[in-house]
Amino acid sequence: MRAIAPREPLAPRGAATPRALALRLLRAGAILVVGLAAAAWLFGDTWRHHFPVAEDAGATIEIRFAHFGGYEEYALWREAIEVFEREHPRVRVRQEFVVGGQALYHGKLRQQASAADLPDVFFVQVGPFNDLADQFADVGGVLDGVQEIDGRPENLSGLDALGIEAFRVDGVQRALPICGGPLLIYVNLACFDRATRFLGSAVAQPHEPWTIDEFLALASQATIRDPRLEGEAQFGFWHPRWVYYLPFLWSFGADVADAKRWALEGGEAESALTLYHDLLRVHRVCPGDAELPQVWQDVAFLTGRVAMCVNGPWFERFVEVGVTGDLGRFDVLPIPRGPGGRWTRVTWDGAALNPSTRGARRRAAENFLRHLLSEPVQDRLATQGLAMPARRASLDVYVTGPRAAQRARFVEALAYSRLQPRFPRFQEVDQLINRSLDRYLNEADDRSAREFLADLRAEPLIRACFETGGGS
Amino acid sequence: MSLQGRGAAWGFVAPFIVGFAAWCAGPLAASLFLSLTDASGASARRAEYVGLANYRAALGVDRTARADAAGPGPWLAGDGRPTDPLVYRSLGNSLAYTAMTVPVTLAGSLALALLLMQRVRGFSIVRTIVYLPHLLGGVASLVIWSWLLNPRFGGINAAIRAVYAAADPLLRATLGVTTEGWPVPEWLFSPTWCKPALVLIRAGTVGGSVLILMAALQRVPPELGEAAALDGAGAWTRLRRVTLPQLRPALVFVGLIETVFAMQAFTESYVLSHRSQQDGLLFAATYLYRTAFESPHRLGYAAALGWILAGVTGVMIAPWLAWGRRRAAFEEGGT
Repeated sequence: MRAIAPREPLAPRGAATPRALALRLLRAGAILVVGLAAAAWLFGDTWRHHFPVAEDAGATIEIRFAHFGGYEEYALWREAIEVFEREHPRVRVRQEFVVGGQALYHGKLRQQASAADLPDVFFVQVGPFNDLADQFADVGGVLDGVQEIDGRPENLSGLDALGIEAFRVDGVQRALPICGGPLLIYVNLACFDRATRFLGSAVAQPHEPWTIDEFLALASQATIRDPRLEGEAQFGFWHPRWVYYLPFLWSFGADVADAKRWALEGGEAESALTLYHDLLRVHRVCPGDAELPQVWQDVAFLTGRVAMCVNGPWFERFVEVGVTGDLGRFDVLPIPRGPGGRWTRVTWDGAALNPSTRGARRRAAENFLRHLLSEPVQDRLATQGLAMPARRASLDVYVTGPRAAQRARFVEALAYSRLQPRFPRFQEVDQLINRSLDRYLNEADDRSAREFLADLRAEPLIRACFETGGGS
Repeated sequence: MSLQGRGAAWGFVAPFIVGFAAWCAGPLAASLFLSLTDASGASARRAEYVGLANYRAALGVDRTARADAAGPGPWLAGDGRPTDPLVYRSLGNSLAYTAMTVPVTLAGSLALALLLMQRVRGFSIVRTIVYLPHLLGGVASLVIWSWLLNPRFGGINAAIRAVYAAADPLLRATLGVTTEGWPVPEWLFSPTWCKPALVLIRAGTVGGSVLILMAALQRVPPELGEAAALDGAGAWTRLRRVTLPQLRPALVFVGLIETVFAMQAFTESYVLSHRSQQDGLLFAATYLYRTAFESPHRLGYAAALGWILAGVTGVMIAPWLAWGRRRAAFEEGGT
């Protein structure tokens, strides 16, 4: 076998040819370029955030505006943005929206706030607002000087007073109400017609004024579990979560809490909680979870499985679009009157400004917030009927069209509306109340309302957040 | 090794080292540090060192509070209630789910693997069908299962009702009882049935474990079984005395993996949780996630929960590791 001669190196070690050197340099250069591009891609936003380019007087300004909701909300605010951009040619508004529920949206806001990356103008709901407001104080100051935004304090008095109050914390106005409304009872009249046909005797249609007893009687009459009822059972009322049950609670004369004191106790609270329990377990006018599984309130109401539900003005458009044919008749009634009078809960979506926005962007953001509260935008909002406008002058526009009678009831309800209680760690307490109520509503739970309330009051979170009067 | 060779070796190993440091060791150290702070995911303020306060808050008992009849369990009977009852509730749920799901999946996988190893015409298609749900996985599979388990309209209860109807004449004739009015499970809408529902879902997706056990079965020398048969061993004895001991490493692996997955189960709980379950599907990993990334965004506290969960998981896998080590010691001694 022939031995293979050792291969000679092409060039002596340590003495690279110019060609090899050039190749090495080229390779190093390519790696450097790719590395720099990757770094710019990864950290560019961070760099711009910490080292902003000086504002150019003639340059276009972009502000970010965040909201949540479905397609109709998107289209409405898109329209408002387009009008604003036409009026302010040097300002561009980037619309950032979260499709779906408020929880997801506010979760995103929290993360943006903790990353000091809040949008310049953003919507916020009253419920989670308290938690957020505390947090915003962490990221560079509260939103103050709202009066100076307009330079016309009288504009504030033109907005709904409870809406203004909802976003005022410790005397500081942190946001301004844009839209919202009170909770009333939606009635699917076709369910009462079906009950009449099935029972062979007239079932009265709900009408105002009505008391809680009358409401309960009607809900019972509309509840028919017999499967022969045109295929499926129907129920009188959709069992609401606690914040939607607040109007009933107040109508019994009870309350949940104020800023410091836990108030969900006493005879009125027990009566209200007893009804809450009995609607589901004793009178059985509400569907249990396994009776209408994987069906939510909107579908249950729209398909006529549930005759009545508590909801706000934003539900009207949904019902109009969704309910067809025989089910196309619905009405809106006030919350029934109870021993504590007649009350309902009003909720507002407000717009806040990022306290860290400065200079020309701040001025543009303020202008945009003013634009959202302007007559044309508020009137457009009122016409569309997605919610009630916060600007009181626009309420006249709201009460027009084929649903004027129902809309008028929402406007009337503002007179007996209350804001939901505001207290620290709202979302945690909200989750605790929901969780406790779920247990209380379970068939296996045999506690009385008094025992349930005592257990709730003894929860460590409640004791940490409120004065409970030593009830544990 | 030359300098150039060592450089090349480090170069090849570097991606793993960088990846391990960046995605495993770094986050582990960070989470340990976080668990000793009051870091919040909803605030830009600087986190403060709080020592073991998060661990005390998670596992502690408030002796000044009245005991709750529906509390977390007998180990906390008496005065006081946990400062965070959901920690015990979620850990209890994870442990219960693990205790239910691991034996079921292990036994089911083994039975299926033994069955599918038989040389029967058309079984290759059956093997594919058994493995397919494992490929689907994730949220899509869970949504399909949620519809199958719908207590009113779902396919599972329809099948149960059909069985009731079919059995009714027979039961009337023999026992004089009727199946009319017999209940069907409310599955995901009941605190009692929600965990069995999840076990059922898990049992439907054992394709991965079946594949591992089939691979292990193929490595069992057939002559061992043949020799045992010549000595008069029946099928059951051969399975117990020959096949299962040979499968032990694979069984340990599958059992260990199933235990870890069950203790860390998240997607099932996150997708299928419902208020009517009364937190029956609130698992430790889900509670950790909700604490960290939903309200109240307590990152430090959630990190402590993570380490508590890791500790409990460690205890749960210890028997598997011990069993596996015994096998290794036996092999070392035998050679």
